[in-house]
Amino acid sequence: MDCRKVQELLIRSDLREETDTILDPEVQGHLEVCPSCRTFYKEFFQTLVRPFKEAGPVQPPESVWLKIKAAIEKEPQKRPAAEVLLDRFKAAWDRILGIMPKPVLGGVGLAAVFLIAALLIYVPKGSLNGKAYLGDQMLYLMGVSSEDLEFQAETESLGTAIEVVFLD
Amino acid sequence: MPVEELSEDVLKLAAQGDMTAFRKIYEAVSGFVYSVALRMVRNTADAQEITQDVFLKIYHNLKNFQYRSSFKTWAYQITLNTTLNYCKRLARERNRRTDDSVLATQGVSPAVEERMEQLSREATVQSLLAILTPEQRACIVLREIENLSYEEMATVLRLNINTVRTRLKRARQRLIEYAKKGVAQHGL
Repeated sequence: MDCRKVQELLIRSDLREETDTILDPEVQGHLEVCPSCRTFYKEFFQTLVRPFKEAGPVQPPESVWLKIKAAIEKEPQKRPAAEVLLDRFKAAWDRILGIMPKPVLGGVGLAAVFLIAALLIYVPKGSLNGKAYLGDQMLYLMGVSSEDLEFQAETESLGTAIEVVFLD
Repeated sequence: MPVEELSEDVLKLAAQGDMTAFRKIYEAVSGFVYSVALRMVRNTADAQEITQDVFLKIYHNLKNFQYRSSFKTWAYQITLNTTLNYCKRLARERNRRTDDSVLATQGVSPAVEERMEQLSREATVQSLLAILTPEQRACIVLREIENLSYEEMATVLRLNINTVRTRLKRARQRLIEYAKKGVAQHGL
């Protein structure tokens, strides 16, 4: 096994202690006879294993939690959409009540009821009559045209002599 | 409380807006969220901002969380996505703040000597991570510091497992080249 291959395998390995046994016996054997790779191995451990292994645990200061807690508490409470919608409707209704005096509001409400009732009663009725009228008109026109044609056929003779000769 | 011990009940209560339950989640995962963010952006102010963003996302999306999958992996996914997006935004803005506050919130040690050693170790880690791309950095942080498996990394980063291996290998090669050049002086 050459030095390049050994060093590549060392880089890929996950040593936790300098005394860890290298799993590959071939690499282990090479290290015993190759000073260059032994130096590389030492450097590898010093650079890559020891500093990170010795890196102490780090805790955030308490102020971080206090900021997170404050940010959460500052947020509006989340509620169901229907509840939010109902509240908005109530707020709008309160605003209307605030703007209009109650008698005016009652009058407006009554007028609105009459208007809706009138629309419901009269508009569909009128539209039905209109439809019936149109239907009658169509039938009439169709009837007129066919009668006219028959009438034409019966009455279009000019009564000339030549017609009498040829048609009779 | 370790993240693995978070019960489904706690997650459900938090999803309903129970702040006591949400605090339990925060205590279980804030360590790795902040740790990953800090190692990725190398700035405490940015890391704190990312941590806040991540927890607000967790809070708002808990009701959509599928309890079949691992909460830890899900939280890592949110953390990595938020952090990588933050890195991209920082790169665009070209308005990086100085890194002098990196270690301001490290665990306090009573012994000054120990504290100095800790600072030195953290400085070494930061100097090593600084030479990597954000994607390579994410791989190194997840593998070497957070000890995630390749499968977990592939899920968190939404990558093919072979892509994860390749990225990790390239990141390691880059770090070794950096060490060989003798640029890193902090205890290497």
